[in-house]
Amino acid sequence: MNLLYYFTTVGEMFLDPILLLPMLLATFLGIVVGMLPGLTATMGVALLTGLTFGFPTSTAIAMLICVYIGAIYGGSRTAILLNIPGTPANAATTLDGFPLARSGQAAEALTVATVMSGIGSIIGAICIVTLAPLLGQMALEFGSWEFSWLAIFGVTICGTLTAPKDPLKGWIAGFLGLLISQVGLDAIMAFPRYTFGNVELYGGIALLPVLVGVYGVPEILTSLQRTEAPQVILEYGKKTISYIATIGKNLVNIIRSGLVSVLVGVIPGVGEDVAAWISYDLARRGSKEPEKFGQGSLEGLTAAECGNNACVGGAIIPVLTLAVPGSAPAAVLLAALWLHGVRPGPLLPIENPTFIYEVAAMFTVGTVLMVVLGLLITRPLLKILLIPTPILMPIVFSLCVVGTYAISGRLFDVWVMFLFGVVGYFLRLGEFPAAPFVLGFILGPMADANIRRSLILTDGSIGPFFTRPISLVLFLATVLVMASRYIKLPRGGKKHEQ
Amino acid sequence: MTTSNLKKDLIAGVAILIVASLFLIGALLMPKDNIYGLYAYPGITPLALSLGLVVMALVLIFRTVNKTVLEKKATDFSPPSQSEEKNFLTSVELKRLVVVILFCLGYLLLLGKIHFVVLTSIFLALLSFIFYRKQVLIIIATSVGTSILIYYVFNRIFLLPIP
Repeated sequence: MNLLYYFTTVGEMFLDPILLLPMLLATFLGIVVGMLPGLTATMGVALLTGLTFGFPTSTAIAMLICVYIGAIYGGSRTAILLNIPGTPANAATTLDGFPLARSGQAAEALTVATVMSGIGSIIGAICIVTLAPLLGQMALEFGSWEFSWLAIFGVTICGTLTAPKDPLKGWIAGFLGLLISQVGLDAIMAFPRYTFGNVELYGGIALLPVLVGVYGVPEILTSLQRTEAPQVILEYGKKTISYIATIGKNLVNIIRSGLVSVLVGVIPGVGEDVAAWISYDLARRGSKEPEKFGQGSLEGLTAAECGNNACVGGAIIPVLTLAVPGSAPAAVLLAALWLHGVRPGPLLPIENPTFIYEVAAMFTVGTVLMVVLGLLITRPLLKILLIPTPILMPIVFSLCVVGTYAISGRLFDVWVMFLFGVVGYFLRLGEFPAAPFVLGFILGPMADANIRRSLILTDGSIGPFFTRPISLVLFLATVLVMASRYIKLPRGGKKHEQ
Repeated sequence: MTTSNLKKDLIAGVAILIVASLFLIGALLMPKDNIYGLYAYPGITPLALSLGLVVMALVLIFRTVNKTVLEKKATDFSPPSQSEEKNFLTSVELKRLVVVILFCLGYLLLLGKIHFVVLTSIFLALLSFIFYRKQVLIIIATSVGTSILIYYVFNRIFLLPIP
């Protein structure tokens, strides 16, 4: 019945030009944003959130999903042609995409990336339809204790995975985000915390300015301070392979990359870049020709592109069912859902039972639009890469300012955006990842309200934090994630012999 | 790890320690009386979080100091020479960064005081011209055109407020 509703909604969307046209425009915009190095999917979604603020909810959400999918895909264009990932999610694509382009197979690489991104997205959409309701049901078992742990676990695992060289920096960024989110009136007693009598701070620090600041401004500053401009060479070559045969040959690779990436997407805050790397690594391990990886392997390109787009679907699942974002662009999507009066979380399937299927349908339609646009207009669109960064980046800064101001009409938010932008720049300079900071900022209010609610319910006893089954699992998972980075277990065999 | 990275980590560790300590003091000063409930005391979460952050910042600082000491022992460590310091302070990238930040600050300060289209056109044209001293006419045309486009799309078509 629910699947039938999903398919019907997909059909209706294709037949509704009033919805389809904005979705087409948003997908186009997403591809452009993704293609331009320095503009990320997060920025694209954030900027469009401001622009679509006055739109009907379904149109706005559909457009944001389209820009998200489009941007993650669009980044593959520059990754293949310039060896510069358009978004961090396309970093793994450069490894095989650029060698393919260099060897005169750019056209093949571009088309394979388009097809695989489309297949990855469809796997993501299928998982939204099938997994989100299951996770939603599971989330109904969550009490305040579990939500408290979920926030801590989310920040910890996100910190670990986004700062693999030094997880401590990831955790610091996450805790800093959690702490800064405590500014403003508290949710239970309405006590003003860290407001210093400033009325503007009573409502807390808004999410969107922080997101635009942390992701947008550092990119602008970094791009403008750079003295060398990337060389743009737009040569495509001719297609010589059968794409159907490529799909058939990579079927296991596609399914594995898609499913693993969806699971990575479900993990709070981790995102598409990690998914692409994991998919790429698994593909290399499972390949019969691992030596070709990094030299222009279609298997590698398939894994990376299928992985990053499948992860988008995975990242949306916890947004809908737990109100916890699976990636940075999903965090903006979550903020947009709140702005439009949708309350994601465990009660969403009860309060709005069809919404999950509508989102999956938007996702599917967006994917089809992405593939069509990708196959038809990407090549002429690549000319946009010729715009010099010093002209483009100031325009992006103005858009950040206008987008931030448009939400609530307060200059205060613009200053917050800039302040967090500068903070984000220095965090990046010190190699502190932005994702756990943002995730912490989003999960902070949830952690605070639930920790205190739990303590009130149990008269101050912290026992249930460790004795309730799901709480215990989340606690152990948190400890395991932290400990696994520092405790080196003996690995038998060759290492010992050495 | 290079000396400059260690220096960066040390500065970051100290800055985070200061921020976390300020939050910690703020949490301790929050009211704990019965009106707010013994366990719902507003400062309890910030207290726990800031304590966690203080511990992590201390770990970062001690780890960095230890590494610095080890590096000093391993190699004949000498502080960066004057020329190195000078290079760091006067590097082109640093200059460019300062210019961008100053321009952005100026733009934000003047927002709302000068008409959006005029201010944004000047901001875009000047910033683009500083870093890309070619095709002046194209820069001016792009700046003015983009400002007008942003203004009309946001304010006139989508009826959103513009600073």
